[in-house]
Amino acid sequence: MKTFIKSLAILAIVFVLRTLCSCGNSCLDFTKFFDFHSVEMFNLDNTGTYPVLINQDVFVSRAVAFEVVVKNKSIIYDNWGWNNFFSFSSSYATEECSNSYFRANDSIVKINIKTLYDINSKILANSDVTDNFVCTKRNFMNPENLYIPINEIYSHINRKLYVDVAVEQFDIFLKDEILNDTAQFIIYVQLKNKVVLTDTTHLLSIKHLQ
Amino acid sequence: MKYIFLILFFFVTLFQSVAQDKFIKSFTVSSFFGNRNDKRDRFPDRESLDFLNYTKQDLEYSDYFFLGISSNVLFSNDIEAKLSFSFMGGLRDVNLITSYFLNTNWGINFGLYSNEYTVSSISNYHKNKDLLWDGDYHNDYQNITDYGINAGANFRMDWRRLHVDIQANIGTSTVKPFSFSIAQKEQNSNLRRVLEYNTTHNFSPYFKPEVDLKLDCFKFKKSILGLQFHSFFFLTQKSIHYNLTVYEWTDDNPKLQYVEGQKHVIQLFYYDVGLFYTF
Repeated sequence: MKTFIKSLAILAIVFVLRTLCSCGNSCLDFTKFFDFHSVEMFNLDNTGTYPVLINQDVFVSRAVAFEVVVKNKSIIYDNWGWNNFFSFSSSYATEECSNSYFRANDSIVKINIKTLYDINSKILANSDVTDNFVCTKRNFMNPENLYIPINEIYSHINRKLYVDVAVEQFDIFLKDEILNDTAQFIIYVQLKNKVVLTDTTHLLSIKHLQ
Repeated sequence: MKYIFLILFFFVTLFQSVAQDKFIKSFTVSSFFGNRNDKRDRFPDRESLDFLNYTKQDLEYSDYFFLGISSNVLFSNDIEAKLSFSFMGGLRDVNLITSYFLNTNWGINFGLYSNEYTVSSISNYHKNKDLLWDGDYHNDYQNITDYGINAGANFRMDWRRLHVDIQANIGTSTVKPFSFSIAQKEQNSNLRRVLEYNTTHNFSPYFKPEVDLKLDCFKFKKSILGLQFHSFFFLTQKSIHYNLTVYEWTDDNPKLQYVEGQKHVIQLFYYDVGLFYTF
């Protein structure tokens, strides 16, 4: 009899655990809509094989690169949180749509980049240098990919659905060597609803290698 | 592999049925084990990549052991056809010979021949030459197929249980075109590039003498089981030409260049022994 009760208890525990694991958000609200509110540029060290995010504002003259992040006021992640542990909320049997998806209300229609300092004798301060940059969607599975021109990035970004994190993100790389000792860039990201988001890089020091 | 057996099975079935009408004098199948010994010229690297500098070889020589199967049909009108396949790992050699005998001993040949070999560590060329570039050098292995046609003379002789068949063929062959690409990124720079090699046909003459010995060991009522020895030599001067396409930054406006490879003397020496069954 005792063995029978123990077996039942173990089965009950397994059943409860399975029930807990099988519950999640409803599919009714698995897609969340969001707006792009800001753009931010982060420095990339591209002197090696792959670009790496850095905190310093020092670049090698032929390896100036930035990560561009277009996002909501704050980066929105999947809404899983500690509250799920310490509060009551309705749960539903998990379905295939259990991942959180985000859908942007706008799309990016134009990107412009301006230099605030001379790059060389031909590219002067306050000139548009959009065409002097190339870009890529960083993809660690295919690091050997060539770049794409900025005017071709729109078909690679502007995804209909964003999984887990509601940010648009891509990397931009300057093709020209900066002969000046300092550099600074402004990026303008125009959305479909005519809103223009902008960000300015820090004042960058340029290191010239022999 | 299964297609080859299907083809052989088809021919065996076909010739067996036709043999009943005495259109076919005899049909022989054989299996054998052998060795292919390659000797290929190598030169110091030049301005452009030469694929034939990267063939598999140790101290200029390279051995490939293989298993093979062949079928041989002797028609009643003095035409003989022989098809053989040799399998060496992922590589495959095919030898087809059709002979027409003008008299008891002498005949003329027409044949097709293809051999495969490997070039590897191709990226070593770029590692040594492009010192300021990082690259994705994992894909630096390529199987190369050299195929051609040949014609020549044939001498055969039967002496008791021994059958001798000697051939001298000349022909022309080319390397089957293939593509190979390498992606690189310059150190301390944003510059990325992709080098894409697309080889082209380039026919070169070859000489291929061949000897085939068969010894009848067991004679049955309508069939013979025996031992065979087969050997041939393949001599050619080969070069691989290619179109080099260099993409820098993006895949727009690539630079194109046609490169002619150096001529390498290639010598292949085959020999194999096996069993045959004639019916």
